[in-house]
Amino acid sequence: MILLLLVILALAVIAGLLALKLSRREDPRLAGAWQMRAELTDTARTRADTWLQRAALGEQVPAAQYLPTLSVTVRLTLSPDGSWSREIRDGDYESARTAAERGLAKALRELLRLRIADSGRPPETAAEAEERIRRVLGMSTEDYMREYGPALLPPLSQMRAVYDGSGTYLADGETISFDGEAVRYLMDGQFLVLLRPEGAEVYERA
Amino acid sequence: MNVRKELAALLLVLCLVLPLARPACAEATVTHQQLENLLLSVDGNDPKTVRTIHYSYDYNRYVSLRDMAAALSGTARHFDLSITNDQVYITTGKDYTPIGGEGEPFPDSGVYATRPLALYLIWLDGRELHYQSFLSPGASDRDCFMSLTDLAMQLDLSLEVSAGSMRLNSREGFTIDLDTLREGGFYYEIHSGLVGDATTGAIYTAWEPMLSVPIASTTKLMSFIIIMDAAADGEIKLSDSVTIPEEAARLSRTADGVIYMEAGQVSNVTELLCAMLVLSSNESATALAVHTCGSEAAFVERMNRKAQALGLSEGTVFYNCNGLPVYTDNLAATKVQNRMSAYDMFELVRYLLDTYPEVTRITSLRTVTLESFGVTIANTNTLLYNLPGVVGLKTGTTNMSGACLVTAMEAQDASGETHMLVSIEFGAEDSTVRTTLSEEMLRYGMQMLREQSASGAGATVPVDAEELIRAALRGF
Repeated sequence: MILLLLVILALAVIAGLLALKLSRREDPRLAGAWQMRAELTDTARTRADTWLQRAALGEQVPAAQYLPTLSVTVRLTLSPDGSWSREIRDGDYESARTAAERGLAKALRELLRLRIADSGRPPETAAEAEERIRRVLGMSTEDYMREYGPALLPPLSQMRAVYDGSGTYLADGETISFDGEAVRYLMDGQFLVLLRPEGAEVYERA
Repeated sequence: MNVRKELAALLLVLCLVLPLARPACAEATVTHQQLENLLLSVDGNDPKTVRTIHYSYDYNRYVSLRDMAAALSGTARHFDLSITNDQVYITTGKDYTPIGGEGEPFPDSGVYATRPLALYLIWLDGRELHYQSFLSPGASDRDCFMSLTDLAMQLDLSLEVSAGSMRLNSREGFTIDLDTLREGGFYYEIHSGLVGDATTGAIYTAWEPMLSVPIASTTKLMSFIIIMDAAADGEIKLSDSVTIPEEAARLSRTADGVIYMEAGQVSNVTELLCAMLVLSSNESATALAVHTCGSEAAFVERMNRKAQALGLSEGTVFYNCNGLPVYTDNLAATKVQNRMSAYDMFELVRYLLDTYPEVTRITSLRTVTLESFGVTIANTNTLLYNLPGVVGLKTGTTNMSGACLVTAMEAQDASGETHMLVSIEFGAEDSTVRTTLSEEMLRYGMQMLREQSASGAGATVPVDAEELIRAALRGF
């Protein structure tokens, strides 16, 4: 009798485990390459404004007028075998940085033109202002920004620490567990939205 | 009256008065309760006790010179010490001869009495220094407590202090890292400050350099420029006699008066320039303004026009020739003062040193005799004593401005070429803070000059937008 009870108990446990496994549904739509834009525009413009406004009349050359929108592409790959990887796309960070520095150089030339006019001296064109800066620095304004200018973007190492990674994942239709860390998700056609506590990440199929 | 009775009365008075007078003749003392027994370790060797007084605030350390001399004896930073009634003699490169008691710690919960903080003469290798210090009472066993920072700068000591201990590396000299100190609030004692190289235009470090602040008597540097411009244009001569006008005489009789003058008294431009720059005589500035332009108002107009011509910012504005507060002439009369930013003052000083370098012949004078007034005056700038190479330029103090100091100092770069370093400090709490801070900034400037010239860095790259634009504007 006792033996029978033990067998029934064991079968119940096995059935329960099987039920649990079967309830985890894979989501085949997830597999593939996804990408999102990590926005850097506001950070860069704020830092540029802070740098410019340390100069007199700096508030008259708002960075928003001279710095373009800036972002880097983050690529997320979800493989059918349950592995995942994510990284910042090569070259994107460097392109964003160059664009930011060019924008700030343009703002600085404009600020110099304003200051020249404000001091009662004959007005100069942007090209003449650039020439004046080159004579002082011995280098172009863009080169100065690259070597000595303010850091307009967060360091690449810091961004990689946030975005780069790899591991295994498991999805059940409502959450994806990345190495055991569960994140709610939504899929809508070409878009995958990961609802992280710190904010939503919106990916588009690559 | 009976002579005997008179004598008896006199004796009685003396017996009553003398015991009362005796305490008044005794040495005045102050009692310190914030005492510390610092442990000083030289080159990692066994530590020795150096007694320290925290004056009014924790970590405002004044250190026993006798304890320091004993602790450094036998090391590369040794020095001998002797102290008389009110003078201290330090001789570097010699071992100290103890008198007994050096290194004995303050007892727990003890108090210690010294003479009040004062400007005692301190002689370092025959050079006169002006630093506030305490002398302990006594005769043959007198000690002197000097600010630890001041001592480290003068004896070129590489010291680290923390948690009741001090470490000294005898192979290195005093260095200061203003960029790191800035984060610890180094500049919070002042409104704004800057140190740079007037020869190249490089600025080594700055704090709130764009802030327009009251500048008190440092105004007189611009007044000097206006007067020298007029002399260069032939409007006046430096040998001119000057009849003291009523407005200058009147000013000399007020609380802001420095040298007493009578209306109609005769002096000359050169003496008045000396009085204006060395002793900061407000009435001398007024007399010179009237002599140059006919009225102070016309002189001030020239000051403001000159500021514009030099490309100084809108934050530079002058209301008078001497830097005193004035009231505006309207119903809601407001007290205003001449204002300028540290950046603008740097530009002004560069122009002044470049155009009228002879200014330092006046501003470097420690004392001047003014024959027309029958007085000998002393320079208000104590850095002339404490930092070799200092050649001026001007102090300034009002309630609103705080204690201000613009200093110029000749220093050599790594190749031996002479540069003129300039420090600008506005808004310190008192003259001690402005002097110490200015000295620290200039020593930092010397470090930067040597490092950059040794590395072949040549002209310094501008560190921010304002510096870059000013460098570009100077190219006109």
